[in-house]
Amino acid sequence: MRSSPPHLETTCPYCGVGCGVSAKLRDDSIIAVSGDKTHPANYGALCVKGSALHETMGDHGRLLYPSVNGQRVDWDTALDTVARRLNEVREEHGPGAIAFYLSGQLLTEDYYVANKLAKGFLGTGNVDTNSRLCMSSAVASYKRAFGADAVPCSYEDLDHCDLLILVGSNAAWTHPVLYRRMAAAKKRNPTMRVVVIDPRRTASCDLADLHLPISPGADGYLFVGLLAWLQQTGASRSEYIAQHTEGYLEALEAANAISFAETARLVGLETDVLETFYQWFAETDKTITFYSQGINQSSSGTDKGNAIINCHLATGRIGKIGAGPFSITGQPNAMGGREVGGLANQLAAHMDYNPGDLRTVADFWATDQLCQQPGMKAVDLFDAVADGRIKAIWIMATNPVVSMPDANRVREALQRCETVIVSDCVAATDTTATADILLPATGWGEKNGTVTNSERRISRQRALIKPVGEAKDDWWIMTQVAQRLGFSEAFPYRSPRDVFVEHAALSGFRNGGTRIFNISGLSELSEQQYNDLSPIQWPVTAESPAGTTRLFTEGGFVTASGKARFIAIAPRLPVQPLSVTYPFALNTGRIRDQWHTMTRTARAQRLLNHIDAPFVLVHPETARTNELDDGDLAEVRTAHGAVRVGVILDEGIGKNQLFMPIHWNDQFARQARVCSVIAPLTDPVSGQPEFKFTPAALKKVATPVWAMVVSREPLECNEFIDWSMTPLTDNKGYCYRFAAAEGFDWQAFISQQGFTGNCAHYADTEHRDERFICYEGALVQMAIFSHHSLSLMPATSWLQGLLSREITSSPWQLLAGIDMNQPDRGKLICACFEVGEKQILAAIVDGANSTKALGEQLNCGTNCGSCIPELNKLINETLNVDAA
Amino acid sequence: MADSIAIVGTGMAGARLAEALVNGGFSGSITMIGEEPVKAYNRVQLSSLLTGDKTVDCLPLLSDDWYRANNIRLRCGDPLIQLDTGNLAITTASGWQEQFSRIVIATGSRPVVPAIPGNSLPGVMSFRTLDDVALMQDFALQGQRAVVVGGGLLGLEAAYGLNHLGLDVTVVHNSDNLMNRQLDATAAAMLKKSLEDRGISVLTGVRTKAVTGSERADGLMLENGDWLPGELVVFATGISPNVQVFRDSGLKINRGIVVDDQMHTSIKHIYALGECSEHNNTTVGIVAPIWEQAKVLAETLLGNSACYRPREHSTQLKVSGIDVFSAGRLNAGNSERNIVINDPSAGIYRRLVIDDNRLQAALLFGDKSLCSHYETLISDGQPLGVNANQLMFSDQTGQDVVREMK
Repeated sequence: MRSSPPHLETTCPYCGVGCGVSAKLRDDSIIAVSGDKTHPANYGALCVKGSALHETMGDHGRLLYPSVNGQRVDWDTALDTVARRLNEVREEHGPGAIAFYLSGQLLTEDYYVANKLAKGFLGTGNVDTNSRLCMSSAVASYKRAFGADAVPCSYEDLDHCDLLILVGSNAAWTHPVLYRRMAAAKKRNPTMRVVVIDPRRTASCDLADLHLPISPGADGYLFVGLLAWLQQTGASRSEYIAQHTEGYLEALEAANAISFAETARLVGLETDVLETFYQWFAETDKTITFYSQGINQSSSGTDKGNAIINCHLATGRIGKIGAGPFSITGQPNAMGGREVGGLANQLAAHMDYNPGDLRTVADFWATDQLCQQPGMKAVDLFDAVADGRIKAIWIMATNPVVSMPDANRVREALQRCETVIVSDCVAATDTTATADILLPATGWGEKNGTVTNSERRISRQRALIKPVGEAKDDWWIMTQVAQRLGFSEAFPYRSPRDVFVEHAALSGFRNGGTRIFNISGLSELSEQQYNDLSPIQWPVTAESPAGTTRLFTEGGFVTASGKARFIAIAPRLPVQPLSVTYPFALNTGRIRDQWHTMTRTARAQRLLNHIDAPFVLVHPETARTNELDDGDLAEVRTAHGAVRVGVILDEGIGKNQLFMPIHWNDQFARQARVCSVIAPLTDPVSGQPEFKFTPAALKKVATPVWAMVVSREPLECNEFIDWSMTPLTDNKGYCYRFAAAEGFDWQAFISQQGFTGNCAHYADTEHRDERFICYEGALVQMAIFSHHSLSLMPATSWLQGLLSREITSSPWQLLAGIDMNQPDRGKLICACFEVGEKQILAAIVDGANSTKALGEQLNCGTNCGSCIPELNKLINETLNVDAA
Repeated sequence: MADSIAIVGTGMAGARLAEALVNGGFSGSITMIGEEPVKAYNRVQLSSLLTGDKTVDCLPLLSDDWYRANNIRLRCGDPLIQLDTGNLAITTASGWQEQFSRIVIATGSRPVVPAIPGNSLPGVMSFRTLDDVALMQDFALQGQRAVVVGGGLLGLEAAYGLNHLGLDVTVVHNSDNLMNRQLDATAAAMLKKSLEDRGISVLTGVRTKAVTGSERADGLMLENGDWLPGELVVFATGISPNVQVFRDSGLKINRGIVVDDQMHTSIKHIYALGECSEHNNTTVGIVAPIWEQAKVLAETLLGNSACYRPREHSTQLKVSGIDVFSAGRLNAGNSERNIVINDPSAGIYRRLVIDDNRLQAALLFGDKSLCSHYETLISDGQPLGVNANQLMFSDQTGQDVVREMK
């Protein structure tokens, strides 16, 4: 018998687009990746992060073995210890003293087993997930409006819309493949308009016909005002409203409470600009409102979601081709987690804590231990860890010490907690540092199961290579623990398929059309069918065996009445107002080439070439009045703490606003965990924290001496005013940026690192210019370039390259900090082809006046396209300067 | 009377002047009168001769044919004993006498040997002439131990040559730093180590008391009471202008014969150049400024206008495998900007001194890259570009080598 060739198609582990990835293997390694041309999420496209997936592999830095209290143990010991501790806590303090904190990076199968074990058999409802931080407001608003957490749209709607509204989304950087799809649609359809609503002028504005730089957090006013405008201008569809909705009048009444002029004032826009936007919305049937964390991460995020949905309901623009309120998730399997019910306020499979659903789930799982009450949401849950109500917490595939608001308090809570179990694929994270029990989990490329993307499409993430060390799948780990706890009968799983079919069966169990999440059509998959499963959009039932592209095409909402609900909304601004002490609105978000807490993306060196250090965006005028310049070190302080990051001047940000990336943490920088300064204020419905608005103060931190350092070994960084680090490819070493005190003794520093080899030293009595090349034989072990100005440092690429080649000249000549024969290409813009800003500017000056021409000349922007907005910006800036 | 020039001295200065006059189309007669029995040779190459890197036939500056072809009258081995400045007449040791229309004094310098007991014993010598080299080579054949007094350029080259010939050599130097006129303490220490690595003993910060020995030298006694055995004692403790014979001639003489910017002495038609001359209170001891003086004087004698402007010149130690370059004034003040590279394990040390945005001095040890660039910058005194931070590595100082982060 000839076995069929193994599948090499899998799904990307980053954002919620859920792109198909084709891998190329050699000797049990993933040596290359490309976009899966058949996958409907991306049709062959990949963004820069996805394109670098193969560069993130390898066992360096991975968590390889289980350990208990810092001692390596075998799996049996680890699993016995976990089971014993959970049992002890449960017997002594009750099931509520146990918590699970899960992740949108878990596979659906892992999520299902976690949810079943916790809620069904340990009996604790304290199961929450990092999805709480990401899109729980979107879930809550969908549920309030449609009766179910159901995204009505498909990505193909982006191809067909005539008006695309990006609100609270910098898709160009956060969901690049969808953004390229939008750009392609706009190119095909010249009448298509794009509106970007964001306080900040982001890279996504490259596509915008209209950018609305609204006051931070004022989105609710904008869409509540739109509802009133639609009614006043006769654009609302009374027929649809009457037939498919309820609560319109109450919602309208609330909307009418604020005048148009007042709305314009509150959102901070000129009335004619506001009118243009409203008019475009009113006149365009095929309208998609594409929203993300900018809406969700707010103390009124659920209301904002509903304010958007209200406008779509009022115009009947739901379930239509090219129309709908389209929430995009940030994580690869946030949607899978929602489907499983892995949030504290959900029970399982789109069922809630009501008597009927409780009975259904208890019967299906055949358990008498089912938890009867919703558990605590993330912020409350960690509060309970802090005050000792929770005695044991099991954290999987996430890094709450970095990502939770008031993150320092979260760290303290975990440090105090009696039993912290962390399953992760990475050894050193800010969270694993707090663990009592560490369990090595399989990572992308090793683990096997399904994920659901933002358009409800279930795709397979496949195991392509053997797990590193002793890493195990999370579903397996939990199954083993469940069996040790005496639940062998309920946890008989031997493969992810066993778990998946049970999950599918539960979705159909006593469903009868009452629950829109129904994948019962997949409940009888064989191992082979499961393995072969092609991407498919739920619901998947006997009636729709090929899946479902669009929901609510003929109304048919999942409320008691079958009608969608308008929500009457009194919009609110962020909870904390700006003040004299904290005069800036601190906004947070993602950057183009990093993802989450960098545990994977920082493994690909080229992803750190675009932006290599934590930063705060500051308007040039704000910088001036605060005596800051580009590249200065600044302290951003809020009522909860302070971080230190480099200043980047940005004309595109408001004068009273700041923006910081969410990614950096204690593994990569001294003090740049932005969530440590975020208040734990949450949306009352969804429990999602207000990450997008924290009043903050800004001040310069003196940096007498800067240094760029590469080293093969990690360096002791305690003595520095500031540091940030980027790991180099293939574990070659580390690249540090240090800020040091006046008169810093580098010689002493070098010997403190235990370096005993040879050292070439350069010292200039001016500019605090001091350089060291520490070497052994023909290999550079460490190189230090220090100067009073950060702008006079060697090119990072040159510096990093020192560790990857032998010294061919005399070592002292490396102290030049520059390759005299190789011009500096400048800041990396195109990560795929490693094209730098200086090369691009030179080409533009030489006449390449379009992204197409630049692509033909330098290849930049021709692979993933993520850099196209930046290319356009460079073209515009250069040509405008020349014209002036 | 036909135009006749006498050049008193057949050393490098005299030869260079004669050559320049010929090349400049001088139509009168040229007579060269010298103490050494041989024609002008390249004294700088004596070190190489000693080590055997050069042979004696490489040394002459001008060929026999050249002298013949240009009708140069030569009186070698017959030193001047009297100069009649009033009549522009010369008398030599052999009694030969002649009058000239113009006289150039290029008698060079003599080694200074300290006035200590035993300094004239057989086995005590200087390192100055072809004869000295021949003596050393003879001595090396009997080959035992040598002491070189003086850790300057010349002494170290002598020490290296003797070491090369198989002698057991000790260098004694009164300053704490070898080559203290050219090097700083760091470079001097590295040089000391390099010499020691080659088997040369070096004692610094010590003073000599006496050469010991009855029939001939057998060692050197130091002021600290230590005694160094040595059948050969070479003094390389400096030079002084060779002007004794002119002291009563009426020429104005300080250390050397005082000359103006045209190399003119205090007496009409009499000129001087080289190590016997003194310009602007300064005597010279290296060849580069002498070349410049010869050029200026040739122009003067040819009736053209020229002006001698002293410039900073570099020195290099001619010791195989030890690259040392020094130019400019290292220690003029303490407000200068210093750029220093140091790699002790590789034997690399480089120091640039910048003052008022001009390169003032350069000291290179172990690697002389860019030395001629620095020499030009120092002697020309041209302002540095904004990229002085690349001066150590690049000769592109006129351009901006932009280094930027990212």
